[in-house]
Amino acid sequence: MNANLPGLNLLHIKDWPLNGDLIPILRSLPSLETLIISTSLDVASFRAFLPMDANETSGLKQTSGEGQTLALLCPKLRSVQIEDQDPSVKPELIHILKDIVTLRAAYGSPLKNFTVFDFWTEPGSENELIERDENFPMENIVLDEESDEELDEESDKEICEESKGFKLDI
Amino acid sequence: MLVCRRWNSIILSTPGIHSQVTIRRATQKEVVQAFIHGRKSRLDVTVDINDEKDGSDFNAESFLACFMAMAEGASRWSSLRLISPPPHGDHKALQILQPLERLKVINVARGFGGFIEQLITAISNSSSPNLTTVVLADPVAVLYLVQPAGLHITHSLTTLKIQLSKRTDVPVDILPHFHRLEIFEARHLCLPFYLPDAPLPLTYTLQSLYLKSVSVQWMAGHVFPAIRTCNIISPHHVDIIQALQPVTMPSCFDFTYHSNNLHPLTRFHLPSLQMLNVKCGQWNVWRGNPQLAALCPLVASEAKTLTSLILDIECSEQLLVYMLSLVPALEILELRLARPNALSTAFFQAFIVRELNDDSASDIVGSPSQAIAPLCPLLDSLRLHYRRWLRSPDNKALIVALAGIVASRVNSILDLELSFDGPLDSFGTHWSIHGPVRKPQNLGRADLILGIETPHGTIPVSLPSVPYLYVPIPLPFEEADYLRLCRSRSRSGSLEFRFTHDHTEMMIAYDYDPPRPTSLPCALPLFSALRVLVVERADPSFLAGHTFHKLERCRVVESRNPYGVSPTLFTETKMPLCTRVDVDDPYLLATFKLPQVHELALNFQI
Repeated sequence: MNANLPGLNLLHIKDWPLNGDLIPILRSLPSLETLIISTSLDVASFRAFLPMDANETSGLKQTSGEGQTLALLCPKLRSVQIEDQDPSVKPELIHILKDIVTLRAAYGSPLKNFTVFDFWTEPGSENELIERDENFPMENIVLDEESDEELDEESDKEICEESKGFKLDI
Repeated sequence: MLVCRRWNSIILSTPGIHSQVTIRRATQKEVVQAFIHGRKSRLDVTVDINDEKDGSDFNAESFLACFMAMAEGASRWSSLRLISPPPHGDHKALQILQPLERLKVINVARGFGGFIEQLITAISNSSSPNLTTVVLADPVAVLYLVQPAGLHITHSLTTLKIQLSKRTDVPVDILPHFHRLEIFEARHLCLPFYLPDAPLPLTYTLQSLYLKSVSVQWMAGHVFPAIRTCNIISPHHVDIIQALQPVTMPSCFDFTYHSNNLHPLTRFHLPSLQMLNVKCGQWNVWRGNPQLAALCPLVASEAKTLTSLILDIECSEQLLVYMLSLVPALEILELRLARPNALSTAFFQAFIVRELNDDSASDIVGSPSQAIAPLCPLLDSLRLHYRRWLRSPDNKALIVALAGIVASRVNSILDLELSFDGPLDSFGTHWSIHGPVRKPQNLGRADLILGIETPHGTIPVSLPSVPYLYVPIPLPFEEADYLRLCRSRSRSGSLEFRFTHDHTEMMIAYDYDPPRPTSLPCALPLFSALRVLVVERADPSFLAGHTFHKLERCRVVESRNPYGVSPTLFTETKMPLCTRVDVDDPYLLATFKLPQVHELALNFQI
């Protein structure tokens, strides 16, 4: 990947390997605000979003009182969308997403939710929204064609008719 | 296709089924004999000695043996096409001994004239000739047709095409001898002068007439009740028609007339006319205006039925507006023009549908009432062909005016096509101009889209398909704001852009094409001006080494070279202002210099 992208604030990753390591990518994107990943991720891949020390050890694995200074990759990250992922299949995913949002908040991260799209389990697309609060509920939103158009007009982003996935507007 | 032996045997023994056989340089007598004797079917025979794909040397003795073997089945010949003759007149020894009693079609190319006597004699020997179609390109053969032996076959003909490359020296008095002729085509045929009361039975039977550089004097005063299509190109003796009685074609719906003198058109009565194609070779407006004026009475009299009009006349805008106002039912209009400023943007604005309170019509040709009621309100196809389009500084302004026509006709779909002389025109393809849109990529399938940005949106100018061959495709603008290349998956080859003299050309290059210069391409005005670039299913190698100074958004997807990374891709491509990029090749992205990029989509499947 082109390493000279310090001003990048939106990244859409397509065909990312299931257990691929996101850390090298995210490390080079200090200004990133929106991340869209069009493939499902292994739960382990989400550790890249956790606060981590200089050795890239995530905050979850550290014992308290170690005194290590933790930092965030992509500290400006506000929105993460993951397409083609069914959270109900992997309950542990919910827990790590909650940890990510909670731990990042402690470091002033603006990330407040993960949006997970699952286009394949039912006709039409299904949007499961995970909020940052104590109950961490999941909200199902069924997208129809009209809502696609609204999304396209409002956000200047394009939902591809064929794949129902995100497509950068060119 | 494979079939069982029994079915094969049935086919070969069925007389009514046709078999095609061709004698070329390499054809062997034994093969012909086996073919003739191995079946009872009717034979469609072709002689084509100059076939470029046939690398063998000509052997006169072998050719004669082949033809004579073929002639053993002459009574079963259904058609005979003599495409290219043997060299040195080596066909004079050919003989046809059997009567050609089943022959329906003969096609005699130039160079076979000496053989026509043999042919006509063999046909005449049949008790009742079945010959219906004759195509002659040899002047000797044409002259033989009016000899006593030839006249024997003219009575049965329904189709006659005489395609001479230059005018015959002597008149050929052929017209009185056709009693069943339905299709008559003649080029450069010299006809005698016929008296007005001369009996010409073909006038009652003709359905299709095509005359090029042929006298039309014989048509004066006649009614052609069955003619449906008529093409008259560069007619001779038109003054006779102008002075004598009119020509009446009550069933003719498709009429073409190309001549420097259009005044004889006033003598044609065409009450069923639907499609009219008129070309006048007068070279300036001053000389062309009287010709267009001569056309007006015909157009006005057939205004209710006329739906298609093709005009190629140098004339004034005011006169053209007047004439078009006479045909409100027009659905298809094609204007063939010398140069982009032949008709002004104000002329084209007369086609724009406007509201009554629209005060922007002040620059429109004609009276205000004409402007409010647009020209040709039922138009669904407007085609503009320019003989010279390039080197014009204001052609972009013209495109904006044309897009305004499309955009204004919200209640109908108007196809607006643009073409100009050049290699693309020879492929019969054209540019389509659309109304302003927010996203040109939503236009649908088109190999190439150029876009011009306006305050109302981007005006897309699209090319439905890029020719598959290695031909330069001149782009209609030196600069554009938007470029989208999206080729079908089945095609390969790399793309090239180059600036030649005064315009940009695009080409598709293949491995077998001539080697190209290895140095980096020069700076292209098109690339410097682009703000949006989309490349889908096309080799992106052409980007290498270029700087896209104004590019803001870029997509290069489904363009990965299946044979590996092209070495040229290691050359940097600079996009200093680009903020949004969508690529599916990390290697390609690595060659992009993107100091301002803010949004990126990237496919990591390598």
